[in-house]
Amino acid sequence: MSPVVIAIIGIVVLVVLLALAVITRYKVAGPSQAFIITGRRGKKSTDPVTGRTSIDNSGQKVVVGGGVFVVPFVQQKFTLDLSSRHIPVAVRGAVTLRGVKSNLEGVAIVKVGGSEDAIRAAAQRFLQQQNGIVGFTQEVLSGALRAIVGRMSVEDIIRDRAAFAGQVAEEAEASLSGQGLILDAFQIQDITTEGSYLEDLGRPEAARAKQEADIAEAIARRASEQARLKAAEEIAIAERTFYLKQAEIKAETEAAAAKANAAGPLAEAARQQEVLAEQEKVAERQAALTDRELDTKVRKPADAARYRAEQEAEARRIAQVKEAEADAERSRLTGQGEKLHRSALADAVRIEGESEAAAIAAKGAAEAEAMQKKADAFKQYGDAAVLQMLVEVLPQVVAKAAEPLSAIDKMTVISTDGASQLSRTVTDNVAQGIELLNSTTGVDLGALLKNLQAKTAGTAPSAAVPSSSANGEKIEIKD
Amino acid sequence: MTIFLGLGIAGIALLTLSLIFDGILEGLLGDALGGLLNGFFDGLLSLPVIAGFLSMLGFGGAIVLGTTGAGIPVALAAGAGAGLVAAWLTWKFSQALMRDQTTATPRGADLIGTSGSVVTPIPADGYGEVLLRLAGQTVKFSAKSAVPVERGAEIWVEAMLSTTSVTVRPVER
Repeated sequence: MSPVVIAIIGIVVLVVLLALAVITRYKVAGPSQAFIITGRRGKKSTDPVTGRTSIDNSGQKVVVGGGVFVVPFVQQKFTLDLSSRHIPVAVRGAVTLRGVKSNLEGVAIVKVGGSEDAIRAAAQRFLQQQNGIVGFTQEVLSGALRAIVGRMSVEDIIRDRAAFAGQVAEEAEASLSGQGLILDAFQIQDITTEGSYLEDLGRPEAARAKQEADIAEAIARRASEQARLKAAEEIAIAERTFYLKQAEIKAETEAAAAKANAAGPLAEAARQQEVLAEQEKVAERQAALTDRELDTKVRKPADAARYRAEQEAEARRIAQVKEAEADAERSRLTGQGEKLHRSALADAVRIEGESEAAAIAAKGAAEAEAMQKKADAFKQYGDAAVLQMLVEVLPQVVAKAAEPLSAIDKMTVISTDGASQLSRTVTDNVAQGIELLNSTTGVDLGALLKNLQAKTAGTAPSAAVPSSSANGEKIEIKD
Repeated sequence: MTIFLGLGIAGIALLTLSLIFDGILEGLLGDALGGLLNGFFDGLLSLPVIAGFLSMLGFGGAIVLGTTGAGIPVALAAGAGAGLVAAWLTWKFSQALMRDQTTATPRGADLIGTSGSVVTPIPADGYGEVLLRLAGQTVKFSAKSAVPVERGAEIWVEAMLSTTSVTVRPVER
């Protein structure tokens, strides 16, 4: 590599390094920075009046937001932060103008002033202890706040921002402006009082607000309720109208439907009616025809027949009358003959009767006489005659009593009494027959017999009976 | 040739050292040169200027010697000229930056005569707050006034009471 080339490269490097060496000494301040450049001598000036010479501090430069060439070693550059600082401030137990103890919490926004004077002042105080700004300001502002609260009432602190700001400015002027600090803002964040002072302060208003709210609420509720009821009423009315209309329409449609449904049957009925009317006419005509037919066919022939029958009957009647008359005449004529005949017959009968009667009378008288004579004879004979008759009769009685037995063809007797019982039965029948006679005729045959026995006992006791038995007349049972 | 290159490299080394140990070499040099660095010369003999001169002298001499084949005195003279030019340029550049003052830092006194508006009413005897424009920035100042001033009123700054408070009077139009 030739020395020329080395030299050229060296020149290039030299130019670059020279540029760097110069430029690195030029410093530019940021927007929130202030440079304080110290080290240069200030300008000398002479007071024209007194003649004293003095050196100002123009050698100490303050640069805000610009650039500056810092000569190495001779000058020194310092940086001051101009940005805001957020500083909480709290005061406890501060007594207000009216003696109310209160606790306040506030916040202050503090920064280093942007003007040269403020930067110089702040740089002298805080340059090497910029973090101390917060603590320092906090302490100063706490005291200031306490003083401010002491000059104001709680109500004013809360309400009168202008008065508060004025007080703060006054206090800050005294304490902060000398430090080159600016109080950008100072606001109370919270204020509380010991006891219930603040709460009591708001209570009347709260009560009034509550009252108004209640009233407003009640009114609103009333209005809404009224509106609701009115709406409901209107709805009900509308519903009623709707239902009425609906019913009306339904009735109309149903009537129309019924009419439509009835139209068919009605037409049918009308048609049938017409048919019937026609049929009626036909029937009438037919009846008339039939009538006339009957007239011609039946009635008139009947009339004719009746007339003929009447005529015939009349004729027959007349004929009969004539015949009857003739008959009567004939009867009358024959009656007279009959009468004569009958009277002759009657006479004959009368005469026969009379003769017969005379014969009977004669017979009766003869019988009566015979009876009389018989009675007399009986009287003479007494009971013996009666007994005579009875004895004549008794065999017939016993025969009659034994008659049932005569009907028996074959008889087998199964009895402990044996066949003797049979004869006893016959005697029983006789006794019963006597008894029957007694009860029916009143003739006590027994008594009669006893009487007879008693009568005879005096004279000829038991003459008759023994005589009968003595006579050997036995009562036989005949077959 | 080697001496020229050595001078140039020595200058670069000096500059590098001055960049790394900012201010230390200058301090030593400043001590040695005394008050020359301040006052009259005012940075004329600062380290970059000296290093630039030296380095440029070396490199310039080497280039002239290597290219033209002229004698060492010619080369030395040419290098010295180039070195002077470099030194002068460095000095001027530094001077330009030093002189290049940005906007002046605002001072409280600048506010006098400006107008602003009241943000907190100013009572008769007490502080209110006013909003003022100071060097293009809006700043809130505490303010006093002879007469009470309502909020929103336009005011005019009469005087500075402190760095954070002013005396104002309402503007009557």
